[in-house]
Amino acid sequence: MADNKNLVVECDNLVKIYKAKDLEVVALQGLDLSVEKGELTAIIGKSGSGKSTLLNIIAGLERPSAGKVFVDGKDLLKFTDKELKEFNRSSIGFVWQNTARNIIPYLTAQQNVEVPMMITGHKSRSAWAKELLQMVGLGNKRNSRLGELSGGEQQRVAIAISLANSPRLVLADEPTGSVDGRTAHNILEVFSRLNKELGITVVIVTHDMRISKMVNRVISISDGMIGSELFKTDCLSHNIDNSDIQSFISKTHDEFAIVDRKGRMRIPEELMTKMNIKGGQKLTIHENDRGFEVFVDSLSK
Amino acid sequence: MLAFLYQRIRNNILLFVMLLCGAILASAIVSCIPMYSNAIFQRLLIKDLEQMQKDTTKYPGTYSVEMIGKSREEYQKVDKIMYSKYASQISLPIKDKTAVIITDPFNIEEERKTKTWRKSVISSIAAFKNIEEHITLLHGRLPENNSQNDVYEVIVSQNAAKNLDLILNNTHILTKTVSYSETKTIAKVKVVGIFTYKDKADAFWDEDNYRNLDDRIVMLESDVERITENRELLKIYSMKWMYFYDYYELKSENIKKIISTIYEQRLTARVNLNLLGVVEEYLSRQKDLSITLWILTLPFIVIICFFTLMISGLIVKNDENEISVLKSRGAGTFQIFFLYIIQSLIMAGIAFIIGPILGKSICRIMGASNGFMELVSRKSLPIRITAEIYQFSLLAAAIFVVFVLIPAFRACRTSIVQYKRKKNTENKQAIWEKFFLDIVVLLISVYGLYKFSDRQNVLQKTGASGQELQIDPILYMISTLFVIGIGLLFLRLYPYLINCIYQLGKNRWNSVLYYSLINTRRIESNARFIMLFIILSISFGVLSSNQARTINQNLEDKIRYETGADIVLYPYSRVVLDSPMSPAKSFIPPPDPVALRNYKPEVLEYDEVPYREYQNLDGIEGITRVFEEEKSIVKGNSVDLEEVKVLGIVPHEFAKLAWFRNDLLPFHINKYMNVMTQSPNAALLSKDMQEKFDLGDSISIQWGKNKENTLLCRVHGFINYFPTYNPYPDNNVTFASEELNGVKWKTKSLVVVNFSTLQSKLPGIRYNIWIEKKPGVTDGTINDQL
Ligand SMILES: Nc1ncnc2c1ncn2[C@@H]1O[C@H](COP(=O)(O)OP(=O)(O)O)[C@@H](O)[C@H]1O
Ligand SMILES: [Mg+2]
Repeated sequence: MADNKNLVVECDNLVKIYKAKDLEVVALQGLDLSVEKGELTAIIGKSGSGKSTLLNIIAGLERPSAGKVFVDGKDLLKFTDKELKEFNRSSIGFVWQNTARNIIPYLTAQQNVEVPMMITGHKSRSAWAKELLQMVGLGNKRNSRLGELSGGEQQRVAIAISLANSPRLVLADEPTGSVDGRTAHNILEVFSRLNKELGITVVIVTHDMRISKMVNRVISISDGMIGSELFKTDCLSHNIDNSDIQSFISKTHDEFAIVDRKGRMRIPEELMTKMNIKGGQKLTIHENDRGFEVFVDSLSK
Repeated sequence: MLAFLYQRIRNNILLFVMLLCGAILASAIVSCIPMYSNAIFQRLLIKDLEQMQKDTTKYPGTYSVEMIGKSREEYQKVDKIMYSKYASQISLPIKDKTAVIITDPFNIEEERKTKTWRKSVISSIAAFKNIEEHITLLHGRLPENNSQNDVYEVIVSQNAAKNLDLILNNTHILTKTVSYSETKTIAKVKVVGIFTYKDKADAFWDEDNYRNLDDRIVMLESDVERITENRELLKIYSMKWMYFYDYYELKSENIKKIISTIYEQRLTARVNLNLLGVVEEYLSRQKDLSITLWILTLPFIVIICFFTLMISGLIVKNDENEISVLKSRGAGTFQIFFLYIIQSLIMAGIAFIIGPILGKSICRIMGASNGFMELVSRKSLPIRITAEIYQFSLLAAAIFVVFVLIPAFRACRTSIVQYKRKKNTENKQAIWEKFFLDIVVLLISVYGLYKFSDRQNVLQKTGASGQELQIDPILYMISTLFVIGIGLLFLRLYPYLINCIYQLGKNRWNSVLYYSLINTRRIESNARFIMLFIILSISFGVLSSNQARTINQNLEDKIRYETGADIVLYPYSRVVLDSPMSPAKSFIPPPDPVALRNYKPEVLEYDEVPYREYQNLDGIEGITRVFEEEKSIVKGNSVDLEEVKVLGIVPHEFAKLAWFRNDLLPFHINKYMNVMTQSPNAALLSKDMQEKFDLGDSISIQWGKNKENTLLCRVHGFINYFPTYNPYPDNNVTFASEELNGVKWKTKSLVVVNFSTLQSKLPGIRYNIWIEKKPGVTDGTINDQL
């Protein structure tokens, strides 16, 4: 599994079941995912589809009920609590949607960035924090507190914080959830710049389709499984009406259906409606000279 | 790190200050108790030692080390280290010191026999360092050191001169009986002076020293050394080093050290410190008082613990998000916990230093206020902050840290994910709820209450009384537990109660009520804590004020009981004794009732102001004559009792104005008075006489030197209590802990007879006048008329 050196994240058949009193919630049901080094990946999906759960598991904050997670080739499940802490501290940078999650309100931006370094016990915190803030474009707001920063600035501070310990992987759980479109765009730009300049692997969770235009790879999750993956089309004209995001995405990205390890395949819902097929529909796969083609079995219609 | 900590504190400054206040208060109260008890004990200690000096004529501060039967060299060796190894170990200032050398006995004979017959006198030599400063020469001079002379010069005390039959300027021969027939001459001595003690109250003249000189001759130390050079003839018998410490400087906190030093020294030498016995007995008393005080303070401590928990809980709750932020950045449990440790250590440190200082002020207030503590001390107390106090303060600070860290620890352990989850699933059961601690505490207290009432009955039967603090620490502790138990139980039942109300009128409540009911049904644990805190502080407040009122009431009752009426006049000398307390006023420092009672005018001159004139005084509600005699003899058929108190009363008047709590006797006092009125010869006897007399017995009562003062009566009843009657008049028990368990006090008996019967038999009899004032009339108005 972990032999591919280029894989930063590798999830195999992840299952997460929450038990709350009498009912069980299946948040993830057999999810496979791999993220390559230096990749900027977005995960989209409806609310409750299990995105946060997935991210928490990758960050080592939660343990899956079944399945395997490898980050940087290391099996998270084999970590002791201490190793997990250490991993969490130095390999992962986390950006939450909720600013209160990211920033301690009574500290200045600079101090906030220094906190993770303090936890790890870094020396010369001040200079690095300064540089990070410069990097996210907040060089002049180093001494502002939470209340003195706009929503977008707060999120950028959060990004700086997540980078404080020079992690291999930055996970962002809906970082643009509570800001307007333009700001979201700015934030994403920061991410993609960091990704390009520092080569940091970034996974961004969002239910905001707009994000995806900046991102090479978009993974869509539904019901705790990968629904489909979209890759940026290389040849593209950029003058597109922003209001129709759905169409925009489909124009900027190619959507692929994904077959999992057990050979199961999911067809995105939109495609289902488009193809006018329902559950229990029979498909036939034919081989031809280009490869394989899937046909909807017209007989059963 | 420090900057972070500083920011944290700054952010939570209000809660932080509150918590700090709690810490300081905790430390203050905790250090206050030993400070206060030390102060009381310091005072009592000195008083006890003074008393010891009076009673035993021994100076309490005398410290002595005695060596017997050793060689002279050994004495000299010990003498060199005496101060450094022995005396200086006792941490008291030395007022004076001496060393006494005593030789073996010998015979004293006259050189030239002046008398034909002279009894053979046995004596020995004593040498006292510094003796010259403590004697007055009556005749002659002090001995001089002239070593060439073979006649040693000696002085003797006046008593010794008499006892030993020595005459000034006579030379005497000291001899030693070697065998039946042979005596050897030791030396010649000449009496050059006769002295008396300069000041017998001087510590130097400790009883032993003083006795020593009644039959010894006193020589210079150097002479003693010379005379004992030949050990065959005369040896030093003993040497005793004495140091006289200023016992007024004895501090109660040093007692333990001194005792242990003495015991340690006793392993190597015969060491004695006069005050040792007193002081040892003392420690146990101190412990008792401390325990009582601790128990009284228990509610405060409980409240402060709760307060600390509550505020700390609030702080942690405030910090919960922050904790989860730090956690998600990979901070370890301990790393976060460390912040709380530092934070609480800062507070504890401040409290540790400031607490005792504040405690000192609290003690001052306690000592100066007119509360029950007044009983123990009236002058300002010698309150000091000692190292021991700081130990207590440290203890308080440590406990504080623990209580602050409990919620913090719990919060630090929960991970960010758990935290989120916790937010969803609220209302976990608290520990006490899970283990039914409320029920347990309640059961314990109920059981304790039951036991207590048992014990109370026993006490009632033994008739305990006296100057007690009147607080039963056990009862207090039980009450405290009970309050806590009830408080917790209420919290347990509270949700059900609300639910019950909610269910009752589910369909009838209007929306506001409905909403608030639903809301209150699920109270957060923190809110429950606040509820508990409020419940506890209010109940403890009520409990304490009740307690204070009870103590006050008891004191007042007691003074009234012992005085008997508003005003008691002794008309035969016109000494007016004002009632010590005006009723309904509380917390007036009561004058010592016993002293008041015992005040007897010197001249028992009968002042012939007719009783009628007293009756005409303005502002009096009732007036009666009471014959009071403390020392009379009661004779029955077979037994005589001495020192019996006799009260002659006019029953129907007496019943109206005497102060008496009606729950003290099985029947209302008027019933007894009726009996007295109906039969003029009736006598009521105190309970302790029940063993000796039966109902219907004839008794004769006699007092004074005059045989005529005799009255014949018939026993009509027995009583436990009666105005002014205290069966234990001579013991001033200061502390509740010194209950009468196991101690037999000499009780006093009482006989109550009809005044009119007395008067008809002895017309000129002395009487006191008891007066009840009209409401609102001051003692002054009546005093002015007299
Ligand atoms: N701590 C939890 N306890 C119980 N159920 C949870 C918990 N966390 C998430 N879930 C459930 O798991 C599912 C996936 O949640 P989540 O991963 O947060 O979705 P998303 O982030 O995509 O909105 C949801 O149905 C949610 O209710
Ligand atoms: Mg989510």
